Amino acid sequence: MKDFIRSENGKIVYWIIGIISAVIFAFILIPSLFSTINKLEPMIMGVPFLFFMEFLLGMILAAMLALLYWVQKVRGEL
Amino acid sequence: MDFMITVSMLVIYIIGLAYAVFSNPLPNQQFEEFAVGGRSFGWQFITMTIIGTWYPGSLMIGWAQMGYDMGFTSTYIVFYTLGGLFVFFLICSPLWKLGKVYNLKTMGQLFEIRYNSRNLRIFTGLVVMLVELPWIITELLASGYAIQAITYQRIPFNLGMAIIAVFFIIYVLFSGMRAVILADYYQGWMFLIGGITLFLVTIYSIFGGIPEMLMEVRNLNAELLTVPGPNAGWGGEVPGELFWPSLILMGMLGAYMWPSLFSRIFAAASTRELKESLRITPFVAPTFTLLILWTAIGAAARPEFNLGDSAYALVNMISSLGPVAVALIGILILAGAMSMMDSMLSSWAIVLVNDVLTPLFPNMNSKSQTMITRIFTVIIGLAGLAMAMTDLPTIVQILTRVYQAIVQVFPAVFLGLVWKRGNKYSAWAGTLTGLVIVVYFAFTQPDYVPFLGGMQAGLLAVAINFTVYIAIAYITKPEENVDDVFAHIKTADSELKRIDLAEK
Repeated sequence: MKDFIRSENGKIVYWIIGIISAVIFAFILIPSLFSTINKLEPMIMGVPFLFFMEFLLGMILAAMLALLYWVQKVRGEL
Repeated sequence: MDFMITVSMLVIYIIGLAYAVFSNPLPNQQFEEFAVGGRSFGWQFITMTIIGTWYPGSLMIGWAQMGYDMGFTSTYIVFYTLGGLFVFFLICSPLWKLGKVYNLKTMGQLFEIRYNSRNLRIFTGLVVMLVELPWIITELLASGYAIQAITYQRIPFNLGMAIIAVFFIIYVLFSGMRAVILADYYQGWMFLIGGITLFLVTIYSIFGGIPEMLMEVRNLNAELLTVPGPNAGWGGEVPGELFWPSLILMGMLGAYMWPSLFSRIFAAASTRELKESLRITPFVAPTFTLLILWTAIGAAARPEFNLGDSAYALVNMISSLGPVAVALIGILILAGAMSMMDSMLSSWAIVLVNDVLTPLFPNMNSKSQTMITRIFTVIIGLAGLAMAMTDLPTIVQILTRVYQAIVQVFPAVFLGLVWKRGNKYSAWAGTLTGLVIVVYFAFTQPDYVPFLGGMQAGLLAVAINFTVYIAIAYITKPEENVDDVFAHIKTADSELKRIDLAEK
């Protein structure tokens, strides 16, 4: 994995992180997409759907940021 | 007995904070040490200082009120915190490298180097300082309230504010940015351990768990659990569906434009230390925010804690758990307020000396800069205290607008770092256009603009700001020194190794 990330093709990981993050932000910021998660039902683990999605999307974005750091570290670009 | 418990906890907290700061004096009196801590701080400090400064004391009062009154909408902070960290990731590396090569301490200085304009440096210095000014007043008010609560009203509100103001003025005088970062490191741990524990205990003691808490809110007022929009209206007047995204976008773009956070980038020991903070901050900061705001939304299910002012409903609810909880929430408010006020105070004094006085008196030496910065620290701190003691009914209204103003420097910072074509004319034109639009709407519209679908005027202004910057940049010539500046960003790593070797 590290060898792939270090290679020239490893830059594709930046694109993957960028696309995942952009899609999440689109769901948060674009009203027509946001309306698909802006609801109470179904309740998940006892909390309203929107609250669950807020936590889930927040943690995925946090993971993307940590991954960005890790990829730059592996590629020696810090 | 309750009074003894709360005051003892406050004293222990203050002694710990004082020890953290005063056991680490400045190694010398050079301005570099006072302003950016000698650019020596590792990722642990950068992480905690971001967390410490990010959360104001008013989060548990003002934003908690928003959670109580507006429900889920208040949690926009979670996404703007994360979005702001993406912006931080993009700009921190070129900024830090330029800072090291050109000995930068402030945004104004960056503008002078990048746009070759001393006037732009002075203008930016003054604008960012004035825009941030209302914060210190709200934070002083929060700290006065906290002291009053911890001492069960035995210390009056204004005296509480004065004690705290004098305390943080003294430690900023002692070692400038070094004191601020050490204090914030201590406060950051307070937030993490004390804050998360307190809010979890509150939720489980009062409601029995997070699902139970949200279910109570749902049964009482389900509208608090979604954002108003086409599919989830609140009935009556709602800001419009663009209010939510504009709150987040304003926060994302403006987050690191505040002088108190911007200058932290220069205090890090390297770009590696800055980015290492991304291993922890993105997970911890939103989790803590969610806990506070979800609990504030939960407080709406217990109207008995709203004693005439929803701003204090969350604090009242937590305080019902006993004196230890009273002390902890009071200390958390104090920690948030102080970590924000000390950052602002030191940043403003540094900006004033570095961006306004130094260009006017270029022969001023480093020790004189440090001494004058200390004098300004006292003057600004006491002036803020005096303002907080007067009745300023419009201050909260001003506070809601300041983010829209600070974000207007973002295009000049961001495009200045990534696009050679931008020049002083585009930076002036874009920034001034954005600020004029924000000021115009501030006097003619509520916090959102109804005919723009609830969008905040600041977002419209920043879009026009970007457009004006790009248009003017295309019809005028780039700065003559721009190739040098970009070459420094590109070759900074080898240059920095050379500087380090020379210093050794």
